[in-house]
Amino acid sequence: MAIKSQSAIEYLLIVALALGFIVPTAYIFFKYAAKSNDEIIDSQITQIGNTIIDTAETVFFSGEGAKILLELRVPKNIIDVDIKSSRELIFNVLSEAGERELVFFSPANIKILSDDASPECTLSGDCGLSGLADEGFKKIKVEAFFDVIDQKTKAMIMEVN
Amino acid sequence: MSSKSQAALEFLTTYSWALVTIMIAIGALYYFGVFDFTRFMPQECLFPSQFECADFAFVGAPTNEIRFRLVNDIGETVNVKSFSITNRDVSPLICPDPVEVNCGGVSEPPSFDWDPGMDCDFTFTGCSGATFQKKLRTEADISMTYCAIATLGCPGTSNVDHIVKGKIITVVN
Repeated sequence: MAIKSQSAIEYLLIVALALGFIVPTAYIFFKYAAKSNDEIIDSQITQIGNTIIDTAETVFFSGEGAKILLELRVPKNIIDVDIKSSRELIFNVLSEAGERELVFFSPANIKILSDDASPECTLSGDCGLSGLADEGFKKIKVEAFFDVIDQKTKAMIMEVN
Repeated sequence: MSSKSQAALEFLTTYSWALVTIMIAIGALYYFGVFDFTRFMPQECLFPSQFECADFAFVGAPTNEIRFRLVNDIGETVNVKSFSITNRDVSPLICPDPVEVNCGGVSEPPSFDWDPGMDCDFTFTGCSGATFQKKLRTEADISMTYCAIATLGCPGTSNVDHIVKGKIITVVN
């Protein structure tokens, strides 16, 4: 009986020791993995945002009718994408630190819009681009057009199916 | 029975010095913080790459400071409007004093224009909270409201404002 209880206690001690190593190690591993995941998504969105803005600039200077088709792989965790004041491309992203914004600016003289038909988009330049929020492969067309109301060339960003 | 207890007593007297030595060694290791596992936990400053966090520190009493350095990598001059700081403790982190800003050795007011590429030091003083104690690991959720100077309506209106959220997790020194 005494030998049985001794072996049981030894077994429990070994299991407790193993768990004492495994649980904190797993916790630390997942914390590092989450941080690394945020950095990767941040980097992918930065690349996408800069690519779209650079393309808008290229078509703008190429003149009315110029268009470029971008093929982008959109990462997960993007909640929404929109354009504000015809110059700020905003990605709302879910991260370890909560919901955050990544903003990309077009040069002040280059107005960007999306194919959003709402009055806010045509009047104040606050346009939705929510199609870009879904994870996966996307085709984005960036086209220069002449806005007859403003009498200015602008760049239109739209998702192509 | 008597010979058994004698053997046990002899064992203890022979090896008690070894037991004492081990106890002292464990005590010394504990005193020097070898068993302080918070040191092995990640200490991190999580901000988006557009406002890269270059350095950070939590300083305990008497100043009770939260310090961090951010770099404006957004590529535009931005107008920083306000900061807020808190955490999810039962008694949340509060830093009542206005944030002190120092950009390239020049002291700035809490609301200031921040040029691209410039790094700025932000210091919150008089912080308190349930876990904001020396040697304790704590976190701070920081929000910064800003707008881009070149965007129409900045800084006069709030409809072109953006919020950057960051998190710092570290031990208070």
